[in-house]
Formats: sequence, structure tokens, C-alpha cells
Amino acid sequence: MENTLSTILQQNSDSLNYLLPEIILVITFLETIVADLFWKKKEITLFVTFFGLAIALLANVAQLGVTDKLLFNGMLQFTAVAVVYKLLSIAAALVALVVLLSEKSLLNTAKGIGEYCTLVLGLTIGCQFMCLATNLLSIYVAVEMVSLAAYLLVAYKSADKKATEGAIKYVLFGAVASAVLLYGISLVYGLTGTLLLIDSNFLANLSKAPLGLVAIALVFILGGIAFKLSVVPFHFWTPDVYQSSPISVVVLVSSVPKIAAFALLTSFLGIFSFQLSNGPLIWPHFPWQNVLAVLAILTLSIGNLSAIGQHNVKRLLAWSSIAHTGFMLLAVVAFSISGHIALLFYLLVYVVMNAGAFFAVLLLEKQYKATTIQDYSGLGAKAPLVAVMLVICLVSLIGLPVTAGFVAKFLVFSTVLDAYAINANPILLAALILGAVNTVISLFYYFKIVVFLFLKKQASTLEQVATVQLWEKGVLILLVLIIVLLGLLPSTLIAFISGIVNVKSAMILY
Amino acid sequence: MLSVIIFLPLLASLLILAVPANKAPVYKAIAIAVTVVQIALCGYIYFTGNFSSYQEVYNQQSYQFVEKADWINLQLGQLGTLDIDYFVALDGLSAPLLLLSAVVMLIALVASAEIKQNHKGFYSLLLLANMAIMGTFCALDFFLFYLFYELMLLPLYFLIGMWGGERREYAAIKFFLYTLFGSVFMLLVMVGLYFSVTDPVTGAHTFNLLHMMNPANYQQGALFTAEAGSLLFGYPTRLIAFIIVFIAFAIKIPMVPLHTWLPDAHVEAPTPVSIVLAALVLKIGAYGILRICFGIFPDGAIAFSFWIGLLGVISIIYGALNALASTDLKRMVAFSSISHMGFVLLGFSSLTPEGVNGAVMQLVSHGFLSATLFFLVGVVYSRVQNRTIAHFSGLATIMPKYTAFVLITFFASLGLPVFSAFIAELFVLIGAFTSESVNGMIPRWMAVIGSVGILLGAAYFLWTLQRMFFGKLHLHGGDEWRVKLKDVSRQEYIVLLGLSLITIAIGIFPSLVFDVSNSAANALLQHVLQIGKMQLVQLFAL
Repeated sequence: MENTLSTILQQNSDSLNYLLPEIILVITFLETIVADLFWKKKEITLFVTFFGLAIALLANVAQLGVTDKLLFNGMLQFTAVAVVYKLLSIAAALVALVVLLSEKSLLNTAKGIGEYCTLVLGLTIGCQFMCLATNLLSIYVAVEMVSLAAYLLVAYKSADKKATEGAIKYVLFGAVASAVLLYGISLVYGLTGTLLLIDSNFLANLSKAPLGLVAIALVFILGGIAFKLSVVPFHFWTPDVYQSSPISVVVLVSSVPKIAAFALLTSFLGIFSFQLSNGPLIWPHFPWQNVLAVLAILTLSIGNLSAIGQHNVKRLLAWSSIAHTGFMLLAVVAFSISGHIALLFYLLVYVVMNAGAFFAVLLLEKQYKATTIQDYSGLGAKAPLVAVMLVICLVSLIGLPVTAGFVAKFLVFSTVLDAYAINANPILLAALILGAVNTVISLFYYFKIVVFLFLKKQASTLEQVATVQLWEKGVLILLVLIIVLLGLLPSTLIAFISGIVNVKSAMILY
Repeated sequence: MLSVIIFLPLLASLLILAVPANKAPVYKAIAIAVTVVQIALCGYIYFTGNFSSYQEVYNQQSYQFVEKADWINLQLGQLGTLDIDYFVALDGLSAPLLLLSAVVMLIALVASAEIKQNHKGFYSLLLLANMAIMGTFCALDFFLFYLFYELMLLPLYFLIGMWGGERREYAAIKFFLYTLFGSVFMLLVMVGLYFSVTDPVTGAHTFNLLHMMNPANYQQGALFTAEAGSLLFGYPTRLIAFIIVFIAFAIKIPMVPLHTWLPDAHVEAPTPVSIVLAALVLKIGAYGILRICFGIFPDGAIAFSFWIGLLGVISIIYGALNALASTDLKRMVAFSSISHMGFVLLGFSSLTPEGVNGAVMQLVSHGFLSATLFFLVGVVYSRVQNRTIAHFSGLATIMPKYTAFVLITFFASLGLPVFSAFIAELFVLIGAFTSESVNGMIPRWMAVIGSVGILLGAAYFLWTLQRMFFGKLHLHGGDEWRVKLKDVSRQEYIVLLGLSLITIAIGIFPSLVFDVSNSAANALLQHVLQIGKMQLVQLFAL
């Protein structure tokens, strides 16, 4: 291809067509700033944000089924699978905004809500680019964009000392993680001479490089992504940040960047693995499967074991979200198309049940100022609807039938068992057994909440300070309905996901 | 028809939730109406179904009232098609248990007079449990079976936890954790089976239990294929899978040493829930062993028959000794359940027609008897909120009718002729005794020790009878209790009379059960002996 200026310009303007959702988001980003400056009414700002996100969502829907294309000389790669991840992340951001509407303490801060909306949009834009990036530089820029927005969001209620503490921890860990990521990138660049992941020289040159150096470089890059996923041992920030942040921020930070990070992880791993008829062929110079399986097992187990001792409900759910990341990572460990399907389904279900659980917790906090498990004593009788909905979300988080969480866990177990049947890697068997054991452990701590809600006698001290509005109940019921429906009839959704993943995975795995 | 039986309670449960609060009689009426309809339908099925023309266990022709529909059908990349059916049907093994379930559910509802708070929640949860139990007995798709099996846990957890006694939180979560621990590992085996088995017609992987029973449907070189099968930690994977699934169900039965949840759960649960637990949930464990362990892994059934028999005998003796030492009447009944379910395991392990048929009979017999026993305990407990054996003496003088029913039920439970338990335990012991000479599965001394268990049973039942009902009237609560301890009400009288008649009817006409269960049990036995031996040879060639 001739690299004259005109062809490059032509390519770039062609590429812009593929970025319609991102462009819409950027315009909305600017609009919110303007709206906040001139009208200073939070209703208008919120409306603009909602509207922009919804339009971007629709633009993404319109991109479903569009064939793959390399954009901007390989800085980004538009793929059908990336569209799914993008869709999911925007939808998750919308859910988090709905939760915000109910969180008056954040909605009515002295700062106003304008900057908050701007940051949410910034985060979402960063996540869109994380889903598309295939150049090590564009990956780094996208990850940093997400990180910066997340730092500011976590510290948004900075009047609160605990929020500040959580935010500072987050920034410190995040800075180290991004430095590590950057170092890994520079090493890889030094070894391969290219930043372009899909460059044919990339893998060839990496194969010739000294193994130790390659291992260090790849572990560093993996570490940078793992921080975004809060995978053990890069998880220390998560419980503190979740406990101290407003719940709508937690819903946002625990889902949107996670989706994008998984998109990034799978497309990065896709470079190293190929789908053959008799199973996956994984690049042999780095033990991807074992490293990821160990990370998954650690994340799963430490997340669950740490959750047992928690008394603050938000902190408990934070540890549980770490454990769920471990489960999703298991789907990646399988290195198969079905694993990718399982991952996408799990992510979607996770977004819904995570948001449902946190939203119910928010409503209980609003109504009764209940923040610890002990505060929940007897609330099942006082607020039966919210409590029952919370229980269903928790049942889904455990992975019991007939909820979507069960189907998700079932798919993960299936793919890992299938991978084990093909290559008999003992670490996969260990992952299966520990996954099963962890399900039992998770029952124990999730049901601690249920015990206090329904089994303990009513605590007399809790006064109702606010009422739950009808729309809040409606949203909660809707989320739970999705959980139950996906548990009963997952076929359509899974068929849809597998249609998209299969098209792409004819040759390269992810 | 089966779908109606399964999902009617769900509808009723939703209906109860829709009825305005504080209408306890309405909830109960709805629940009872639904259960009566279930009994009618199950009775119709039981007496009109053609359960005697049995072919191979994996032949769909052997099953009656088949309902089959595509449920989840997905193209999953290289995993192939995920094929889950809504597949329910009955055979001679499940039909008696289904009828038992419907009857016991009605008794549980009658016994729920002691429920004093949150009636709405109670009845809707009890109906939900009803649905799950019915579904478990009918499902012939492993996925569907697992769904119902797990779904049963949630309502039972809340029923124990919200309406139970003092230590209800502990008992409820212990019950839940034990069962879940067994079943998550069963989930792994289920997935493994799914990858090993293909539908002979469509070629897709399937969860169909019948296909899983047929060795011809196993793929070459798959995880659970017997021929040239795989090894795990140096043992054939199939045998390990058998152990995993067996443990999952043995927890439910419960088999010593996996039984420790039972005394807690049964004692802490309110009377109706104890009835459901003892009469039905334990049966699901035994049913699962027959249908899934023996049906799918017949090789394991042969390979481990000695150990199953041994654990059965230990359960018989250990349960009986504990019952003997119990000071709480309900605890004694709970331990007697462990002892009686030990006979079921002993019968299964003998792999003789007498033993297996006797074990199935024991399931039905113990279902009715344990329901009666817990109902009887509930009668005293609902009156004085106390059931310590030592606190009562000479009850016969103030509660003659009650004493008469206790007498009948205790004698029936300890295996006196004319009652159902006699037939069941006799057949089990005959099977265990002949096993050594017929097929060499379990040694003769197991039968001998099993009969010692019957003696011990007589000891604890008769001793309790003597301590509580005969002798001089002496009540711990004095005159206050004496006023409260009225004889059985008319409602209780009818239930107890009905249950006693059922036990006697089965005892005198065992063909009431055997006619239905016999050919299915024999076909399963044939399946285990033939295919199991063949597969064992293949496994040992590894």
C-alpha cells in the first residue's frame, strides 16, 4: 500500500465512519460541559448525558454485524466482538446513571452534578477505545483515559474523608499499575520493533527474543490490565474504594471498566492463540493458560475468603465482585470460542445482578440508614419487596438455579471442563474443583445478608427516614426480572452472542 | 398431566402472593385445594398407568406420561449444540414417590396449625418446595433434574430458618451448605456427562438421562466413556464420578457420616417442614442414587456395593444407637430416620431383586411412617411447646386416642408384621442375606447386623412408649400442661387414621406398591448387573 499523504487522509476519513458511537459520546461530553456552564440545572445536564449515551447505544446497535476493519493505520481495530463489548459498557454506564438518580446524597452535592456527568462520559469514551485498541500506544492511552476518569469519580465527594482516602489509594495503585504497563509496552517494543499487535512481525520477533525478557514484558502488560480488572494480587484498592464511594460510582467502576478490560485482555490474548479444529493452539513461549488459571484461582479464592469476614455490605459486595472476576477469568483460561461466549454472557449477567444488588443496598441505606449487615436485622419484614429482590440478586450471584447467575456459572464450568477434556492440564481440573468449592463458600457469606434480613428479629433502633419511590421499585423489579428470565430462557441471548463470536473466530481465537 | 402436577403449586404460590395480607385461612385453603388436586391426579396416574411393561431402562417406551419439549437449544462453537429438553415422565420407581409426595404435602399443610406468623410467606414457600419436589421426581433430563433439585433448597432454607426453633439459623444454613456442597460437584459430573453423551438421532450432546444410561451413546475417548476410558489420579474417571454423585445424594439420604445436618434441621424445623424433610427430601436422595448413580454408572454400583452396604449398616446401627440415647422426642424420630434409611442403602447394595424391591418399598413405607411420626410429635409440641421425653409420663391416661395412634405408628416403625415397614425390611434383609450366594456383592454378616438394627429399633420405640405413655401420670408442667394436653382433634384424628390405614393397607397388600415398582426395579437391576459388569471389565482393562 502506498503511504502517500492522500491515501492516509483517505483512510482516516474512512475510519471516522466506524467511530460514530465514539463521536456521539465526545459531542455529548462537550455538550454536558456547555450545559452545565450555561444552565446550571442538573436536570438538563442529566438529560443530555442520558440522551447522548442512549444515542451512542443505538449507534452501536447499528454497527452490529458490520464486518471487521483496521482503522487509522492499525491504531484501532473495528471488530464485531468489540461492538458487543462497547454495547455492554454503554448499557452498564446507563444503568449506573439510573442508580445515580436515586442517590440523593450525590445528586445534591455542593459541586453540582455537571462534572460528574462529564466524567462518566469520559470514562465511557475511554472504555470504547479500550475495546478497539490494537496498538500498544492506543491501548495505553485508552487505559489511562479510563483511569483518570475513574480516579476523579471515586474522589467526587471529596468532602468525605474516607472517600478521599479510598481515592488516594486508588490513584497510587493506579499510577504504579500504569507505570508497569508502560514499562511492559516499552520492553515489548524493544523486543519486536513494532507497536502494532496484528503486525505479522510482532509474534515472529517475540518468538526469537530471550524467554525471560519476554516473560517479564508480558507479565507487566498483563499486570496493567489486571489492575483494571482488580485481579489478585492487584486488587488491594477495590474494597477500600467500593466501601468509601457513593453506590452509583461503585456500580459504574465495578462494571464499565471491567467490561472494557476484558475486551482488551481477550483481544490481546487473541494475538497469541489460534483456533484449530482439535482445540486451541497457544503461543508456546509463555505459559498463558497456567498463568491465567493461577490468577483466576487466586482471585476467586481470595475474593471469596475475604468476603466471609466482612460486616459492611458494600465491602462484602466488593470482595464478591473480585471473586466474580476470577470466575470470568476462568472462562478466558479455557482459550476457546465457547469460553469467549461464556465470558460475554457472564459479563452481561454480572452487570445486571451487580447493579441489582447494589441498587437494593442503596435503597435500604436510603430508607433505614443501614450500612452494616447488623443493621439489616429484621429489614425483610419492614421492606419486604426490596429485601426479596436483594435475595434474588444474591441467589444469582451465588449461581443457584433458576437465575441467570446459574447459567453463567454453568457455561464457565462447561468450557473449562471441555478444555480439560482436550488437553488434560491438571491446573484446569484444580480450577474446576476450586470453582465448585468457592460456590459453596460464597453461599455462606451471601446468605449472611439473608440471615439478617429475614431470620433475625427486628432491630428496634432503625427508623425509616425515607420512602422508596415507585420508579425505584420498578427499576429494581426490572433488573430482577431480567435475571430470572435469563435464567429460564437464556437461548436467544447466547445464540446471539455465539453468532457474533463464531463469525470472528473462524481463524484467530479472540 | 405431569406438568400440571408440577406447576400447579407454583401458580397457587403466586396466587397466594397476590391475595391481600392477613388472610391466613384463605392461603391455607388455596394450598390444600391444590394439593388435593395433585393427589387426585397422582392417584389417577398411579392406578391407571401401565407400569408393568418395562423394557430397558434407557428405552423411552418404558416410561409413562411422557412430556417432551425443546427448551434450551444453542449452537456453542466447538462445544457443539447445547441441547436441554423439558422432559418429564414416570416409571414404576418414581410413580409411588410422586403419589407419596402429594399425600405428604397435604399432611404437612394440615400440620401447619402451629405456624403463627407470616402465613403468606409460609404457604407460598411450602408450595414452591412442593413444585421442586414433584419436578425432581418427574424430570428425566439431567439439567432439569438439577434445576428442580437445587430449587428445592431455597424454600426449605427459609422454611427452616424463618419458622424454626431456637437454633434455626444454624440448622438452616448447615442444611443448605451440606446439600450445596454435594450438588456443585454433581454439577461438574453432569457437565462431563453432557460432553460424553450424544443423542443417537440428532448427534448433538444431550442432558437426556435415558441417553446417558445407554453405553452405546458415549463418544469414543470422552471423559466418561467406559471403553478405553480416561483416568483421573490413576483411577477410572467413571468410578470417581460415581463417588461424587453418590456423595451428593448420600448427603440427602443421609448416610453416616454425612448425616450431621439432619438432627439439626429436623429438630429445629417446624412440624410441617420436618414432615416434608423426612418423608420427601430424604427420598429424593435415595431416588437419585437409583436413577442417576445406578442408572448412569452401573459399573460403580457393582464396584462399590460392599462399601455402600457397609455404610448402610453403619447408618442403621449408628442411627438406632443415637435414637436410643436421645432425650428429645423429635430428635429420636430424626435419628430413627437415619436408621431406617440405612436399610434402603443396604437393599440397594445387595443388587438382588428382593433387596432393591424391598428398598423401594422402604422408601414408600418410611415416607408415610416418618410423616406420621413427626405429625405425632407435632401434636404434643403444639400443645405445650415441649417434647423432652423425660417431661412426660403416663400420657395414656389423658390422651387415649393419641396413645393408640402412637402405639400403631411405633409398632409399624419397628417392623411388626401387618405393617408396611415389616415387608420392606424383611425383603431388604432377605436380599442382603442371599446376595453372597447369588452375586457376591455383600457378605452375609451385613444382613445379620442389619437385623440387630431392627432389635435396637424395637428397643428405642418401646422404651419411649413406656417412659412417655405408661406408668403414673406425671407432667413437667403440672396442671397447666394437663389442661393443655387435650386429646387429638377431629382434623388430627382423620389424618392419623388415614395414615395408619395406608401403612396397614401396604403391609397387608404389598402388591399395591410392588405391582407398580417391581418391573422398573427389576429392569434397573438387570441393567446394573449386565452393563455394569461389562463396563467394569472395560475399566479394569485400562
